[in-house]
Amino acid sequence: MLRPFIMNTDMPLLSRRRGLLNIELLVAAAVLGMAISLLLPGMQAASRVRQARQFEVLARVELNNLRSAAEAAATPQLSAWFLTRYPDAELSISAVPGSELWPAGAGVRLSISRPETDRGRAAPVSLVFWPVSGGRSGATP
Amino acid sequence: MMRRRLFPGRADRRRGGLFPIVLIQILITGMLLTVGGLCLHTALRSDRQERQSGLLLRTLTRLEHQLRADERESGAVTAASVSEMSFANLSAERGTATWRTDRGFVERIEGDLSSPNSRENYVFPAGYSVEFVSEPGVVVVRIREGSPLVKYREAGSGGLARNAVVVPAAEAFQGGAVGRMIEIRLRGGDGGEQ
Repeated sequence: MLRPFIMNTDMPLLSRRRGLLNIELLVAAAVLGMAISLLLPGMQAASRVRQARQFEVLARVELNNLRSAAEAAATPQLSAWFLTRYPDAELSISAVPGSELWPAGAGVRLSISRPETDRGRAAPVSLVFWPVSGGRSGATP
Repeated sequence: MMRRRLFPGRADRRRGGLFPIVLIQILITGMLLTVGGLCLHTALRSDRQERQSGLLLRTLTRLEHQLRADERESGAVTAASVSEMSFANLSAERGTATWRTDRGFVERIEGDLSSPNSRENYVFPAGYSVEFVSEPGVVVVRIREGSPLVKYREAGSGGLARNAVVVPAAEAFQGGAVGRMIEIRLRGGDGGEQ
């Protein structure tokens, strides 16, 4: 049982080894470095997805707030709480013409986007509503 | 020399390593352990943030959805105080929906308070607080984030732990310890007191 630990010059090299060779430590460092280089981009991507999802949910909350303001005949403007979180956010208002599918008349499209950070990561969040009929409205990413 | 005199029959074989080599080994091992530890810490922190963010977004989505539904059905909300508001005239059988908040814990009670038809809870992550603020024509549901300088109980939720503060922010940092907020604006009724 204790044979491998007894110093004996007749035994083969492997059974007399103690500790690590420097080269083994360096190999371990290289393997760890590779693992980290794979892990870090994955974690950064997860963080970006989380932030994009949070932006989408908060933008929907803000769009619903703005919709109430627009229906009360006030000019919609991004709130201070939203601009504190996303100073680069921009609100755009456009008219949606009536169509055969929805003949109730012209609707209003509110969109919040982040031009500086969008670049394929966070799509603008939009809300379309018809203030005249006041009935149906929908949020579209 | 001394060794040969003490152990005359034994060969003078070296054991162990040279001091610089041992130092290099210690250095490399230390670097490996440090980088591994940092990596583990980052992964655990990311996991915690993911859980908190998920809880916040789920709860916020549910809360807003129900608030807007009540607003559509009732037409207006009345805030009696910063911790209570109500939607009257929901429907004949449902009566009134009363919302109450206690820090990060929000409760919706439908029907008569003494014998409610249903109760629904909304639990925000630890550190969050919700209040109902009455402004002219609107009632604002204000959801405040916890301070970044305060460590909250990990178990986390406004429900059980009631968002109790474990380590309060130092006095000097109180000014910078104000968290961000989220606002849900609802059409107000006759207006309550703030």
